[in-house]
Amino acid sequence: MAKVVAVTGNEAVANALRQANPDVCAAYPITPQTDIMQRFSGFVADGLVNTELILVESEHSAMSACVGASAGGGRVITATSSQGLALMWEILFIAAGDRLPIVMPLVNRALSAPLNIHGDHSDGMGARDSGWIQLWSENAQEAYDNTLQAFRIAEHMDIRLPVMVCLDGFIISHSIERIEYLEDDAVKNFIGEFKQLNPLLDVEHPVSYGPLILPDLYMEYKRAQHEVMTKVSKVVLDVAADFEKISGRRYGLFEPYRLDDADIALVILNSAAGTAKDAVDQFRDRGIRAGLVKPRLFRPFPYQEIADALKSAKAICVMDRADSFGGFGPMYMEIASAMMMNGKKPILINKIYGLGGRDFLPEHAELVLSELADVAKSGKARTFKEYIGVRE
Amino acid sequence: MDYLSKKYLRSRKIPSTACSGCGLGLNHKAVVQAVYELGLEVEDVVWGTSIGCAGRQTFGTWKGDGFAGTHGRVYAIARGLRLTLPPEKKIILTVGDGDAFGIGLLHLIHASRCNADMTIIVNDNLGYMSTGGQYGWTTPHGSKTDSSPYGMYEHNLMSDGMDVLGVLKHAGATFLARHVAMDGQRAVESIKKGIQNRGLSLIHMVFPCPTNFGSRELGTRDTVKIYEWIENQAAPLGQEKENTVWATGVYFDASNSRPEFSESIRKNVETIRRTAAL
Repeated sequence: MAKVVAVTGNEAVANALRQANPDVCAAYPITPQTDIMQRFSGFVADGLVNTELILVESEHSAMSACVGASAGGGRVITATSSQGLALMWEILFIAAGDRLPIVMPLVNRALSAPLNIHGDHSDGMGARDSGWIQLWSENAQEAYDNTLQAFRIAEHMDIRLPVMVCLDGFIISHSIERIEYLEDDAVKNFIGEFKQLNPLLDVEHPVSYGPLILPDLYMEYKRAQHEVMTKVSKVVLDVAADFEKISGRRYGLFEPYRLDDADIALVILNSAAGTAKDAVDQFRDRGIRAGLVKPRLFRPFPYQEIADALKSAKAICVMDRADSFGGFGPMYMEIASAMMMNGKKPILINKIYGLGGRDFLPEHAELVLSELADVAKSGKARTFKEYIGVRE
Repeated sequence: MDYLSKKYLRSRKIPSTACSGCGLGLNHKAVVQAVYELGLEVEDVVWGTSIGCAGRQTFGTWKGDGFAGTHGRVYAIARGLRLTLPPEKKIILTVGDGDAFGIGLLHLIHASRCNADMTIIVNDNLGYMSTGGQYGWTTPHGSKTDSSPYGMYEHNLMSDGMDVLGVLKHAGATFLARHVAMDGQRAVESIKKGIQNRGLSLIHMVFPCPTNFGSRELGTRDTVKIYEWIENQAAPLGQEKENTVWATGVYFDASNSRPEFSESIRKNVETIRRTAAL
């Protein structure tokens, strides 16, 4: 039986980590993630998990310790935010290249400079090409559910890749919401025992992790890394189907919202999607066929599936809570690529919103939908990239 | 607002965002007092800060030039800055214990090795207090913190006879001192010596955090209790008692005893230019 509780996003994620009972956790504090690792260290101190906790001196060391422990053959976790992820950057690629199934909640926070501690997606988007699987979460419930599913995806014998579970800093990490926790036994059965693959500690079968490969083989290695990514979508869906059996909650590669006959559509990640759904409902009430896509699996990106879901839309706005200065927002570039799949060319515009924790309000979503309705009618975009909710 | 604040600090940043009862202001007061007593003006100093309590309260507070580095990198930034600044300009860095003795220790060791001219004030609130109070690299043994609810038992840089100042001494720093926030003029004198040393100077200054350290370790946010707790465990060097954790005063003074980093580079590059067959 599920237990209904009122907890913060961080608390929910920490509880998921407790239920997964990892072998090793390397932790270093950074706002707004600290709460997760601090709560987890409490579980370790109280003997509620069988975890070796290593408190390291930097995030670079945290991810390095995770790599060592994972290659050693354990279930391994850490968590971070913003500058912490940026400092881990070098090792993120090692974890993925070595095919190590590390699970890491990422509490999204803006990157310096200037320093800012509030929620935006520039940290996670910066790790886009690191080879990690990325799951994004709208609310605390999704963050909890994604964290549990992340272990199954990462540790799947066809995958063996690290997984990042993203949730919005402060907006979700520090807000109390109604959550349904699964029973410990149900989680234990769902995730299962950790199975080792090529562990360093198996002295009978020595293996090497990460040595030099020159031009003669490097490209084959990277090609293989792409190949395994092509298998991830199926595993994510299989794991989601199993998860639905124990939780009653259904997950896909993304969430389509009132999209079937939509003329205009938003593509938007994480917590702001919840706000935007209300605006979509309002437009539907007024007889305007509006819809929304909320991506969940961002790496690997489900191009074909999202292109199919958006097939009826004449005008689409991709909302990015991160920017590529001098380019379009990172999500816009993915959707633009996806739109090439079916050879259809809806008008695609990009809005940058909510950087550094700037509020995203229902009015913002309404303005964007109104603009989209005009674009769909006129067949012309006023501008392709624009910042909203900003003082010009 | 007192005269020193008006002279050296931006009035809109005062009062600071520090918690009620925080001792950080005592440390900063000592730094500004030292700057004043040395007759330095706003334009003589470039002030650098990092992250956490020690960084947050000082961002953009110095009236003159300043920078906010990422966590642990200020020493590397300051080394670069040292090469481009006129030698008479002072670099003062106010950082935290996690920054200097944790995430940035390698940079600090290398800045010490090459004796780069900068004065570093390590404001030590005994752990990671701005993220909620996790123990760090100077947390006294046995202290209850958020991440050590049953007492801190790890080896760190201030336990089992280890002393982070010893590490820095052997790494090549030329002036090292330790104080607690209540040391007043004694701390000011050490900081003045540090600034006058043309080389790497570091003053380790413990300060009380009632909000996150005091509340866990002492079970109260009573400001007086954490001030007493620190003061009772501090004593001047040579007058240590059995329970002394922080022996205060000048730990090591080799001021102006060996070439400074930027000076040495300039001199050697000049020699190479003159003698090399170009």
